[in-house]
Amino acid sequence: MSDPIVDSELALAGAPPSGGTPQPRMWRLYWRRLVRRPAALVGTLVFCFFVFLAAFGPVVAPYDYQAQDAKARLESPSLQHPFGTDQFGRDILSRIIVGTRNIFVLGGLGTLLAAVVGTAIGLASGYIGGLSDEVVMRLLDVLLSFPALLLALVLLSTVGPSNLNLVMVITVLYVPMIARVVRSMVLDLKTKEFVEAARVRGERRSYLLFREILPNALPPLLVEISMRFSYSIFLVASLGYLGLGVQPPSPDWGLQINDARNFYALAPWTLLVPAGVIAALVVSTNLMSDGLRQVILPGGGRN
Amino acid sequence: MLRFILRRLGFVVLTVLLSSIIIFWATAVLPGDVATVILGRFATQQAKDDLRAELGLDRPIAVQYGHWLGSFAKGDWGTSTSTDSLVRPVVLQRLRNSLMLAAVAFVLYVPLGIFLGLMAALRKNTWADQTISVGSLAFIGLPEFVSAIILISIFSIQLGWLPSQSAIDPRASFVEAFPYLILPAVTVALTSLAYIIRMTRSSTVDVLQMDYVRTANLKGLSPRRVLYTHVLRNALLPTVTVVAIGIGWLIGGLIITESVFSYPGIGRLLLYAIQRRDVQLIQSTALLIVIIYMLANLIADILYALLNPRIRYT
Amino acid sequence: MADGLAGAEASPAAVSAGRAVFEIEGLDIEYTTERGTLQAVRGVSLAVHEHESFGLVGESGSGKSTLAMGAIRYLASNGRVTAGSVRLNGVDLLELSPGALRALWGSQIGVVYQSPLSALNPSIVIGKQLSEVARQHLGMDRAAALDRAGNMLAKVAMPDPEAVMKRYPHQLSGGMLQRCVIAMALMTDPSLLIMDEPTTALDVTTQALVLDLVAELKREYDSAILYITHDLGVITKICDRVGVMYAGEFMEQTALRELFTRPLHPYTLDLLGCVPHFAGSPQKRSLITIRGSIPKLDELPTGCIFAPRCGFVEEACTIARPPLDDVGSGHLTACRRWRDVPPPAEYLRAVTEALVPADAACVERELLVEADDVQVYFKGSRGPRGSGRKRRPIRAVDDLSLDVCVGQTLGIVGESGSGKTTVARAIIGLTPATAGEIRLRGERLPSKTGARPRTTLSKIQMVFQNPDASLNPVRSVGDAIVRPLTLLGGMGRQAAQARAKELLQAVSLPASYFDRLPHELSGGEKQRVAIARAFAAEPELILCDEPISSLDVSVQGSLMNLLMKLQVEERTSYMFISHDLSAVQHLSDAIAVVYLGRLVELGDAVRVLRPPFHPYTEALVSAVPIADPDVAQKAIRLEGAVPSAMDVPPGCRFHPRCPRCLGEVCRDQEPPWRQGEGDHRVCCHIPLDELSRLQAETLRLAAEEGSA
Repeated sequence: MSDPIVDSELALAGAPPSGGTPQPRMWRLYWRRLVRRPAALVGTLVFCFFVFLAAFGPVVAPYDYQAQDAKARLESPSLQHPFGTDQFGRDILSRIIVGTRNIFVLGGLGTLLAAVVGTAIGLASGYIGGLSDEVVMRLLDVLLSFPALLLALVLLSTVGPSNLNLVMVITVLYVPMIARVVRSMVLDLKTKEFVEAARVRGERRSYLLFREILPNALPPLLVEISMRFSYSIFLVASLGYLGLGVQPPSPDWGLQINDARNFYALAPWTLLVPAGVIAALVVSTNLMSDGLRQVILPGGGRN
Repeated sequence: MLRFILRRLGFVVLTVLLSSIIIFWATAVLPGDVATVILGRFATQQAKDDLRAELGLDRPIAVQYGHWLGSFAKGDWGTSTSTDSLVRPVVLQRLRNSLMLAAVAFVLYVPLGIFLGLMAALRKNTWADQTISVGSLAFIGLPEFVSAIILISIFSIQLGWLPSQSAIDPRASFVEAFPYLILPAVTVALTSLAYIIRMTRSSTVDVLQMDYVRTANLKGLSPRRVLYTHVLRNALLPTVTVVAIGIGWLIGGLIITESVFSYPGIGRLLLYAIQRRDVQLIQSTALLIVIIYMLANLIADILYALLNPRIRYT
Repeated sequence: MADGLAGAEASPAAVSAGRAVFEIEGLDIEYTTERGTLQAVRGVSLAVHEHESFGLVGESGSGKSTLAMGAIRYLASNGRVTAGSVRLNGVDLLELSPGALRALWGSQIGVVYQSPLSALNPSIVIGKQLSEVARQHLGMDRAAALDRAGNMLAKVAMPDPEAVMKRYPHQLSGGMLQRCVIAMALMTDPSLLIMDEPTTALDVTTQALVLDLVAELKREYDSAILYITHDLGVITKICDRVGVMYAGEFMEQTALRELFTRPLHPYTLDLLGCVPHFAGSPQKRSLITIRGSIPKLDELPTGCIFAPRCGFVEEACTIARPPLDDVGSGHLTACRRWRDVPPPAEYLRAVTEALVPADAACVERELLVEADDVQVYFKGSRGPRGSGRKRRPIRAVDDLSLDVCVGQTLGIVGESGSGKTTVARAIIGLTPATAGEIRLRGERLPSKTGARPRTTLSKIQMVFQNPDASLNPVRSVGDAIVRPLTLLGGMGRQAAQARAKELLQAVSLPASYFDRLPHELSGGEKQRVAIARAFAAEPELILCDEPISSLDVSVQGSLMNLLMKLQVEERTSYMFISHDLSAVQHLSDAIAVVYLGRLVELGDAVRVLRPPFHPYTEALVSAVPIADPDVAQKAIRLEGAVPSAMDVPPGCRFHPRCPRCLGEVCRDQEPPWRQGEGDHRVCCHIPLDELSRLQAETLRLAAEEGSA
């Protein structure tokens, strides 16, 4: 029996020590917990808004993001152009909106791919264990030993900046971390009694991995994925800023900032708007990931 | 304990070797023929062939790699094709600059970060904690060029207190460079601050819930004594690790910040080298950064083992 | 401490007549949680006097720890005392300023918790942790404080106090750590000592040593002791007065002997019947099952809170909550019908059934599973500096042989490091044996689970120790039981679901639990599901690895009843592994005693627990705290700790700690097996008749001292 005070608190707060009444299903429980945390809730909602923009961007944007208007260059924000225009007269609001899709597709795809590959590696390596596990982990550690941006630069300079390459680089960058997280979950779950009970009734290895272990490894994995996504935004924007990411005339936010450097004194909004939007997306993603951690992990995480 | 250090050192060496292979392969595969870049498009085939032979580019890759690695270890880091000078002095000079920047940033964010993290943990769930926690969440992952630009706009352009560019003479002394170091250091510190705050807060919160803190309180020790003697040394242990690793990043990972401010550090050197396909420069700079990074990790591990009695006295 | 009597103390009236040191009156404690405000402790009063030890007994959710912590005002931030008063030496604790409270905590109250390793700061040496108390509250300087610390350690019978003072907590064993914590609590000679389950995390033999220590310290110091526990046997060793708590209120408070001989509350009566009587009458009886479960704090019944589960309930009981009243000579009870509560012996006879004694002799029955010379070695880490580079293996199980017959229960008893769990895991294949053979009905089994065919696997199943980790959190209860039915039993979906519901009912769970998820069940219920799941495969042998150790006392009893009932119905064999000798004795037909990877004694249950027995068994038996203050136990105590399985002592493994060690022969040679009556075997150098004689002598001495 552990600390009785903490125990009784938990007992009173969550799981009933004396069984009896059925509890609400998991989702409702998560929702209730999320609602109690205003910061996380705000973050999640803002994030969802960005997702919406990413999905329906071109439809929602008031102007064509490529449409140049020589007469309306560097106009300050007005009713017609809520975020003003850039040096080619393009509407900044529209460019921002369409640029959302960019970030989500590149960052999201890269993260998702990394998640799939990383989970596969983590599951296999963690479950098989032994020497091969050690070797694989060491190799992944080598990748982790590079500062992320450095590795991205080196790789991109080798293969050249294109959308596909960007996604590949993001994947390579994030696979090690995700594999580590999954592997550590597998190592922990492998020794749990319900997995042993499954072994004792002769379940096949694939069943053990996918039906017993993986579903229980999902919560921390989801948290890690959402954190990785937030880093990927940073990465795509940074690479765009350095000119090694998405190429013009694509409305990449980082690229916009790079362009706007020269006009900052004249038209600060050309810089501030994309910067602000990046900040908003990163912050909301972080708030959401933190909220996820508190809501779906047992013990409510920190805070 | 000694065995532990040796094992970790061995691992570092292995990782550096593997990393060097990746670096070398990446640069060897760079598009664009080196000879053409150096001699220009209109050079004769013979001249290019001669140059290639001179540079050793006609030998098999493995041999080239071995040769390069050997030279690197001996201190011969080759010649830069873009500046036409020896690589080593340039790299070391930039390294020195990066160290200066790292030092200023370190002094800014480490004490403050630990302090704020402790504050947040000790006043858990009060408005102070919420502000610090949410605030730090907001800064993590905020790209440096964003915070840099915002800082520049406030302190350089609006207020005019500090220079907006730090393109100082690479040979400048610390005192001369100092005013130019402030904004870049603050930019860097902002992001790292957030990590330290979160790490410190979470490990302190953990420690505060431990049974031995309860014991210390029930022994009637003053809250201050409980904090300093019992809580801190356990709570700060994970933070020490993060700080040590952070040093590695501070020295080699500030590519973006150095770019925004045009500061002549080692990160910007690497960028410059990549843009100019300066193979020797890329290789040496990248490898050096990796070595520094790994050494920082190693120091972090050793420090942790030293400070944690459970590992020191197994 | 060699042989000596460690039975009940002299009558409470003579010893404790000191003044009241710690008085709690009408205390209410509440918690604010996600589900609203909960009243964790309601209207509680108690008093502890100088030299007196008050035992606070209760199951989980009884509020006993909350009461102790709340009374000294150390609650989590969402806890609060809302009514009542708490006085220590006349000073009202609830009125004190935080500074004064702290001073009081350190100087007049000492607290000892359950887990000694976590109670001590891992980064500070023992000496410093002890001496800082003296420096803070006794105004001593460093040298004097360290001196005092050393003295305290010597007082708690710590070998080599000077060396221990320089060590870090992780370098000491559990028993030694607990002594350090006790020493630390006594540094300032406190008026009140609160001990919250201090021995629960320790081995039985270590527990006995610590209990002896506490009993002795009680004589020497005049502190009032508040001893919190769930174990009725332990309180007989130390306590003068006992209070039984249930769901936040006191049900009964009285002198120790009164509680056992003449309890006046149905809950106490039931609780006494939940614990198997150790080596009591040869006629075994089933245990009491208290129907229903402990109420949640936000769903307390109106009227008496025990009423829904009480066997004596009347309508009047459900209307108003009966107060805790003194019904004569200091005996307090919260039952309206206390006059109708019968004496325990009578009640048990009426309510429980006699169990048909199983014929334990394996010769007449079929052998089901045989383990022959099983060896399980693990790769050890390299030894400590200076011992050479060679890796010594961890010899968890060494040449162990045992058999289980059809329909029989074999109990395997041992302490930590004995290898009892490892043997079971080797038999089922989870931890493959590195040598030896496991046979099922004569057929040799592959050592790994993965290599065994499904038909074999279905014959041997397992119930695990930790009910919280036994069930997959994302699968429903029904799914967990259906799976083995379809996988091993080859049933179709419909048939499997029907059978699963039958199994649920067989383990006394409603069929409506089919769709529930594990986190909605209590520990006892989860364990029942695990048992149902094990039976779903229609096994011939079920390995039960400490299945009840983590459960409440009342739940343990009902689970043991369930296991026995199912065994009779399904004719399954059990291998019941536990450190709890009472439970093993209650359930088993045959018992195997294991020490450091070796079998030391084997035979049928009755014979093993009577002399002549192996000296280790003797020590175990004498260390089990019996829930009966009148029983005199001889105090065979084992010094030191169980050696590491990497460093197995030569000759007889037990010789370094054996109180009957003969010297050279025990050190050099492995002891032979000596045959006793029937199946009974003892592995010892001392011949059996000599052992009989010696052990009878010890018992006689113990009885003499007891009656003196």
